[in-house]
Formats: sequence, C-alpha cells, structure tokens
Amino acid sequence: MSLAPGVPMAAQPAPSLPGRGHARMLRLPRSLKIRVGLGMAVFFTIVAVIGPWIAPYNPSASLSTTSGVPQPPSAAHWLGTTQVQQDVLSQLLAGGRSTILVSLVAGAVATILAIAFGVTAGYAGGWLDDLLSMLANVFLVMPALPLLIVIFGFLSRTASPNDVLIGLVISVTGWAYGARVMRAQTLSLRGRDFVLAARIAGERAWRIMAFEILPNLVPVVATSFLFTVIYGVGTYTALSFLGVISVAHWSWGTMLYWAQSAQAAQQVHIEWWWFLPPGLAVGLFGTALALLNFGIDEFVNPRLRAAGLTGRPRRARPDRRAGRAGPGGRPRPDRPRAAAGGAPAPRGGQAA
Amino acid sequence: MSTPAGPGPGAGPGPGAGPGPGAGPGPGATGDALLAIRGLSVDYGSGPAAIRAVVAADLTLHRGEVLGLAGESGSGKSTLAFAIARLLRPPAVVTGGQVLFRPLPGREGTAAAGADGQGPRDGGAAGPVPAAVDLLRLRDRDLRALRWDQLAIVLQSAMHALNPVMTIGAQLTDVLAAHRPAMTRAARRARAAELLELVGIPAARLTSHPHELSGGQRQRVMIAMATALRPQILIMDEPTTALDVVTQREILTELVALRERLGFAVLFITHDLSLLIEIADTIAVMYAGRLVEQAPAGQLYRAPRHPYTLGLLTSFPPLHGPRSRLTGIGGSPPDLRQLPAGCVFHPRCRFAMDRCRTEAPPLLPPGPGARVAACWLHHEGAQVPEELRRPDDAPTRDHGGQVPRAEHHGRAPRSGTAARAPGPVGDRSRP
Amino acid sequence: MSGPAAGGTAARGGAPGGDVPLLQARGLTRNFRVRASRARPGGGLVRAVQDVTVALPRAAIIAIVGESGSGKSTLVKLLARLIRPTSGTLLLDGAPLPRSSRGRREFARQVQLVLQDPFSSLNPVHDVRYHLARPLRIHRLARTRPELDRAADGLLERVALTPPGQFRGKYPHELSGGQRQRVAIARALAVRPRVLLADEPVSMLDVSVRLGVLNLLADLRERDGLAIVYVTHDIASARYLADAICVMYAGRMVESGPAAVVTDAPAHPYTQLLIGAAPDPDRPAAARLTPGDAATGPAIPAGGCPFRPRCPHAMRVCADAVPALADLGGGHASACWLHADGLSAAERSALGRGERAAGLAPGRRAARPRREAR
Repeated sequence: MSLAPGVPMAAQPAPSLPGRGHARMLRLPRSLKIRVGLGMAVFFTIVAVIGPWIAPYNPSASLSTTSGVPQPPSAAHWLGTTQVQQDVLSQLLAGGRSTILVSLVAGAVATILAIAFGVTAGYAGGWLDDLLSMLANVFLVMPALPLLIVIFGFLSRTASPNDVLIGLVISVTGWAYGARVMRAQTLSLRGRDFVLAARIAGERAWRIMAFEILPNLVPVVATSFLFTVIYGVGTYTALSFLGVISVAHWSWGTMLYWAQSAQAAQQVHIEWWWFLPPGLAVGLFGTALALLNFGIDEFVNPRLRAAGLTGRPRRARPDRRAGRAGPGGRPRPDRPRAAAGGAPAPRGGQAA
Repeated sequence: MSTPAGPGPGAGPGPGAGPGPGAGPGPGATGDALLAIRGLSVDYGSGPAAIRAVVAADLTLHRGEVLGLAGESGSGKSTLAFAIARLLRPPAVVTGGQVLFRPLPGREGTAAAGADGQGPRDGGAAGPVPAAVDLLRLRDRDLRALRWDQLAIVLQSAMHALNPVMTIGAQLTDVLAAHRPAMTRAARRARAAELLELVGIPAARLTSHPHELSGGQRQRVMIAMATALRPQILIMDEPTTALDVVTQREILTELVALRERLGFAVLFITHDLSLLIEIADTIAVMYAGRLVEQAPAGQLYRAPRHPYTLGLLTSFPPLHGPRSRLTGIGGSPPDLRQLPAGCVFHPRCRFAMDRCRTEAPPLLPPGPGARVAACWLHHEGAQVPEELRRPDDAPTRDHGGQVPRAEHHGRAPRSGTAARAPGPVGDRSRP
Repeated sequence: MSGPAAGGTAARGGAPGGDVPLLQARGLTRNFRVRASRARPGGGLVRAVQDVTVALPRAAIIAIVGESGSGKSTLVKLLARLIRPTSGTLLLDGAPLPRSSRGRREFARQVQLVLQDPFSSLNPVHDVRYHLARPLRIHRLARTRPELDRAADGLLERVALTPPGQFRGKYPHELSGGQRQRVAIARALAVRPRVLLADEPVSMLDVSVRLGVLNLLADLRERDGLAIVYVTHDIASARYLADAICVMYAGRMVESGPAAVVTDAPAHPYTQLLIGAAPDPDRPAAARLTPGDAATGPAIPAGGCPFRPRCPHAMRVCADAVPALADLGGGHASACWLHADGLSAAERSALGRGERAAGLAPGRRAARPRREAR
C-alpha cells in the first residue's frame, strides 16, 4: 500500500508571489475542491492534537471480559468494540495522533532532504551532481517496504520507537523522488538570467540556492510535501498492519492489525465497525491532502487565479454572436485583473 | 510594392475602391477591396473587467496590395490577425464587427479541385461579382474550406509551427491532401517540390526534418505551405522578427517575387515600421487596440498626421545622415487594463489638448487625400503643429524631435541632457 | 595579429587621461568542445571567438555588431570574466587581471553586465529593493536599512525611475519591460562600475521604449563617464549610440572603426551586406528588395576567411589564409584581403570602399557626404 511519494503533475515554478502580497494570499480560495480539502485537513489536524484527550475510554482497556464478540455501535460505544471489548472510537482517536504525527514528520524531513539533495545537485552540476543523483537513484529503486521492515525489526528489539523516530526512518525512503524533481526544476532555473545576475553581483553559491532559487520552488516544495505525507501515511499504516512496528502503540494501522489477527487466530468474524473506520480515516486523510494539492498553484500564483485559468474556460462562440455589446463607452475595469495569454502573444515578445 | 507602373504616391483611391471608411488603396493595389474589416472588436475575458484588445477596427485590404499593420505590444495587431483567421481561443472573444471577404469570381468554392492541385482557374471570366461573406459568421465547414485555400497565415515562430517529427515533404503534402483530394500522391509530391523551389529551397530537402533546417529556411517552408493553394490573402504576423537581418531581407525578397507571380494580397504585421515603409503599399498604425492612422507608405513616412506615428518614426535611429539625439515617445506603453479616458495616447502626446483628455477622436481624413488619422488636432480648427502638417509629397524626412548631438570629446560631464519632449518622460507610474 | 585597437583613435580623440584603454582584449579566443553527434561524428570544436582584439577607452561607447552565431555573446562573457578564454589576454587599466578570488571580485565591481531579457533577469519573488540592495551589501557599500534605501533611491533616480519610493516595493511582474531593464541597469550601477557591458539590452523591448534606454546609456556616459560596450545585432542603433563599431562574423572581428564611417562607408563585404539588408526607409525605391540579393548558405568553411562562401569578391587568397586586420586610416580597420597590402591602389579603390559588383545593394550613397572620424 505504500504509494510512491509522488509529485507534482504540473507544478511549474510559479513565476511570482503576489506583489502586495500577503493579504492576497490569505483570501479564501474559490474552488470547492480546495475548500473541502482545507476543511478536512484542518479537521484531521485538530483530531491529531486533541484526539487522545477526548477519547472516551482508554483504547487498550478491555472494558469487559464477558463477551468475546465485537459489539456493534451503541450509545456507550459510538463505533462499537473490538472482540476484547476495547472501544473502537478511542482507538481511532488515539491512533489518529500517531498516524498523523508520523506522516507529517516523514513528509517534512523527506522534503528537507529532497531540497538539500536536489537543489544542490541541480545547482552544482559536475561531479557533485553525479554523486547526489546516483544516491537519489539508489534510494529510488530500493524497495522501501522490505527495507523498512528490516530496519524496524531491528529497532523494536532495542527500544520502543516513538513517533518522531518512526517518521524519520520512513522519510529516509521517501526523499528520493522529490529530490529528482527539485533537481530538474533547479536545472531549469539555473539557466535563468537572474541567477546569472546574482553570480555577477558576487552572491555566494549557498545564498543563491537559498534565496534566489528556493523561493521560486515554493509550489513544487509544497506539492512534494503533501504527496510525501500521503506516502508516509500509507507506509506507516502498512508497517503497523504488518505488525512490524510495536503493536502496543496505537495507530490506525495497528487497529487493522488487531482486527486481522483476531480473525486469523480466533476465527472471529470481523465486523465493519472495526476495520472500516481506520481504513476510511486513512483514505480521507489522503484525499484531503490531494485536494489541497490542487489548490497549491492557484493559491500561490495569483496570476493564474486572476486569469481564471484554473476554472473551467468559458466557451465563446463568436459566429453566433451577432451584434453583441458594441464598441465605445464601456466602463473602465475597476479591479485590475491580469491579462491571460491568449493566442497571439508574440514570441520573444516585447514589453508588456 | 512600389511597382514602377503603379500610380505614384498621393494618388486618390484606385478604381473600384470598396465602400466604407479607411484609406483607399495604396499605389501597388490593382483592384477592389478583397477583405473589408468593419468595426471589429475583440475582448479578453468578459464583463466589466474585460480587456479590450481591439476596438472597432476598420481596415480594407485591396487585391494585390501589401497592407502593413504596425504597432507595439498591446496594440492589438496580432489579435486582429488571429481574429480575421478565426484562430482566437478563449478567453479572447470577438465582440462585434464583420470581416467581409470578396473572393475572386470562380474562386468561391473549392469543391471542384483541378487535378493539378491549383483549384478552379482564377476567374476574370464572365459572371457577377460574388457576394461578400462574413468570415466571422461562417460555419465551421465553410471556414475550413476557405482557410488556407483562400486565406493563409504565416506566424512568427516558424521554429514551433512545424511538426518536429514529420518531414517537410510530409507536411507540405499534408496541406495538399487536405484541400485537394483529387490529387494523386505523385502529383502532390511534385507540387511540394515545386513549392520548395519557389521559395528557394532545393527540392532535395523534402525528406529533411525541421530541425535540420535553419530558422530562415523553416520560415520559407512556412511561406511555401501558406502559398501552396494559391490563396488570395496572405496574413503574415511578424514573420521575420526572430531572424537576422540578412535572412530577413532574403525572405522578403522572395516574398516579393512570389507575389509578383501569384498575385496575392498581403497583410503584413510587424513592429518594425522602417521595414514596412520599404515593403508596404499602405500602412495602418495601431495603438492600444485602436487604429490611429492609415496612409500610403510613402506619405506616412514623409508626412505623418498622428502624434504617435510621428513619435514612432523618430524612434528608429537612421542608418545614414546626421547623428543627432532622438527623443522618441515619452512614457510607457499603455496598460490595457487601465486605459486613460479620451484619446488613449494623450498621456504621452506632446500636443495633447483639453479635448483629448475627455473624448476619443474618431478615425477621419485629416484633409484631402486618401488617408485617415484619429486625432483632434486636425479638426475643430486646432492649430496643427508643423511636424504634423507637412505636405504629402514632402521631399525629406525631418520630423523635428531631433537635437544636434553633443559631440563627445572626452570625459567632461555635461550638465543636463539634450532637450526632451515635454510630457511625461521617465516612467512615473505604471500606466 | 592585432591591428590598431578598435575604436581606439576615433573615440579617444582628444580625451584627457592618457592613452591606456580602460578595458582591453588581445587575441581572445574561446573554443567549445562538443560531443559527437550524428551531424558531427567524432565531436568537434566550436570556435566561438577567434583572435579578437578590442579596446575600450575611458568614457567611450563601442558597439559590437553581429548576427546570432557571430560570437558576440561569448565575447561579452569573456569580457565579463564569466568564462575563461582558451587563449589571449584581458587587461584592465593596462594591467593583467589577478586570479585571486578577491581580484575577481574587484573586477566584478569594476566591470558589470546587463543582460538581454528583462523578463528573466530579475528574480520574480524579490522586489526592486532587494535587487538593488544585494550588490550593495555584498560589496559592503551600504549596510543598514536606511543606508540601503537611500542608495537604492539614488540608483532609481539615475535610471529615471521616479519617484523612487514608488518603485522600491514593486515586484518585477508589476513593471513593464522598459522599467525592468532600467532596474537591471540600476542594479549593475549599484557597485559603481567603470565599465558596463550591455548584451542586447533593448532587443526585447518595444520600439518606443528602446530609445529611452539607449538615451539613458548615453546619459550615463555623459554624466558619469561610464564606458559602455553595447552588443547588438541592430547596426542602426549601434550607429546611434556608439562612438565606434566593431563588426563580428563567425567569431572574428571583421571590421572596426568610427560609427559613422563604418555605416556610411563600410569596407568589409559583410558589413556592406549588413548595411544593405538593414531596413532603411530612405533607401530609394529602386534599390529596394530587388530579387537576387546576397547569397545564402552561411556555412562557415574551415580555413581562410570565414565569409568567403558569401562574398562577391572572393579571391584565391581568401581560401588560403585568414585576412589580417588592415588599417584603412582614421581608426578604420577591415579584415579583408581586398584591403591588404599588395593590391594596387586602383584595384583597392575599385573593389574596396563600398563600391560593389552589380546586383548588391549599395553600402553608401553617392549623394551623401561622408562623415569622417571626429
């Protein structure tokens, strides 16, 4: 179930952040997709923070030893119980924090690594580029899941791993794809005149990478981060489902592990309220991030937004339009809107 | 083209000039109106925030004429060309006007295609003058038949217009196959070879791919493709801008030769006004989506009537003659989102009057003669400055705006610079 | 083989401050190795710049004119020390350049570069203030915020972007092409260079804006004594701005001399071709666009004069050896065997200055008086 931490289908380095900017950036995005995604992501974040505190019961506590059958959802247990009478909802809330935290850590660290390796390789060129690219390629082709299984198998013998450590380890396998993308974008930016101008002005290489190139990569970085988080969720859930990661540590994958092992060992029929919530939670979290991703370009690049290129293009049929509003005396546009590039912008063009 | 046998500059409208506003045909035109554009308007976007890229353009292209369309970026000249050929994509939309095309007798339909691929013979034969068709309102099927067969367009970036994975020969025969279904493959190949030779490329290059040709050669292939079906109108949008000046001259020379053979009319769009003066019969100048002046080329050069044209002419450093400081035009090119009220040019115009700030001038003849200009100076008894009322046959080009250049003999810094035109010089604001 | 330094005598004429040119290149050559490809099996050498000698006097403007592929951009990069020459030397104030990084930085402070594309020479995520402040900070010309702002305002006023307060906070996409180019020039001026290398600074600008930028460059020379190397493909603007013009073809300098002389009486056949091809509204109608003009096929042959496949006067000696730069007097020099010693005066005058075999556009007009060097 581990997805390749993928990236950006179409994220090009956005030409600009908005001029007067920051007020414009905080405007609520138009598209429904992004609003939904944002809402879901905020919801999940809140759950991650307060989850264990609002859980009605201790997730590991067996509340009754009388019955060996999972109880359906009821007033006392909103999502029912497991076959040893643990409250599913509490497990979900407790596991939520772990899963979300691990995936965020994995995403963040992997993105930082991707930036470090990718931008350096792209800017430096030569032997450093070859070396870093080879490194990235090695990590890219290495099968992630078996490697992680081995690492975690080793780790759990020594100590019970905490979430941050798990995130770090997962990020080791997740940075390579982003690094390739960063490198490609850096290569294309490196040829731009403003980088040359910075060199001529005497800027040092690290400053050029950090302050000239990286700000232009923000949308790519954001997209890479989101996809790597999705990768982190998937990988972590898979690892806990396999039982590689300590099963005393609650996460959504662990819930699935217990459900599956109960079925296997005790031939207990798994009820829907046991495996559906964690699976659905993982799916919805991933969906929220994917929807957010759609909005990245529009959010950061106001020119696309203003030109309406992210919305559906309005189709115009000129030959049916007879005598529409004639020329002369139209009111001035009151809000400046960027002019979308229609067909005829001459190449090698002249001043705007 | 200035053909030696044509009427001299300053002659009145040629015979059978089409109706409607716009200057009459220039000296090279040999016939009546072929393409009449009336009140064409194009917007980008819609609603109150729409950008008006072309506003009520009136142009007439006569048979055999080379009409030059000059303007800078934002002038709307390319938009106009695309609108004529119905190539605009959303958010650009035509919001009004007509593009009337009067084909030659015998050329209205292309169904009856000759086996030699040349289409119905050019007429002249008996028959009534066919009615004009409005290109903007044609159905797709008719438009497709007419496009390329009667009206062809050559675009600026020839490097990108050719399919990189197909050979030149394949692309040329493609054109022929699409419009002349009756041609056999051998006939198509022969015609493709003939077309290449016509533009000065050896026929052996039929099997080359675009990347194996130079930029100039690729542009020539575009011209060959455009003239393959003997169109009556050729629209060329900055065809030589991306090429070096020597190649440019070669291509234009070949274009002239082709024109003499095939007799099409050309709408030549470019920002290079000095080039247009050499090759065009009539020149129309556009600014911020509006036509501001139209006149025969020689008259426009020697005796401009609109301040923008005057400014443009003084923006091209001359190749010969005294080296003096030019003043050009002050200010910045217009921002189409925030156009000034009244005449769009008035913020940069050194002769602006009060009326210019409130009312947009109409395109009218500034005096006797077949030319038009949109400027209040020529109406209402205003005092026309000397640079704008030179007689049409003035001998030399001296437009004022030139200041004898301070000869530089050393490092001594001069106090102050040469006099500049009054008006908003220095970019005070983003216009 | 260096003849008289291009633009030397003419532009210097009467300048105080000695004869040592500010920036001087001697025999600069730069080759690039290319990989083997189908078109070029076994790889090969691209001779981008070959044996170019040029001198820039103080407070002078020289223009380097050439088409794409002529090597002018590579020459500019060599002059800016962005790339190292394969051979030849570069001198600043007559002294060779130090190799230390401190020396390079000092050179960068004295010799600045303005690039062609105003749309990509400014970083879209930074405002004008940042662009101007960086060079100031790097070279320690200002440190605190008020100092930087004051210096930035001064620079903006020098390039006529007034009021400066209004422009400081703008981002590149809010500026027009001409304004962006002015900001790029201001950025170059921030470190107070003595030489400005301008690589096609106006080619991508609107016509009505070009003149403003060219006039600005002229003003900078007048007011501040800045020496400028103006690289372009447009010989008319070179004539307008520069004191002297150097024409490049296939990596070589083929002609140089005072601007008016080179354009009114071009000596080298390539220059004559350029002048004839450039749009000129004053050209009499009969001379316009007659079919049969210059030969095509700009393939550069291996040895000898690179222009000979297209040259109407090609002789046998042209295939044997590269022509030396022959002095034609008054600072005018041309690298053509037509002007070398050995031809009789009659042969030379018949074939040399501007008169051509039939069929080619005249390079000068009989009616116009010739302007000699100042």
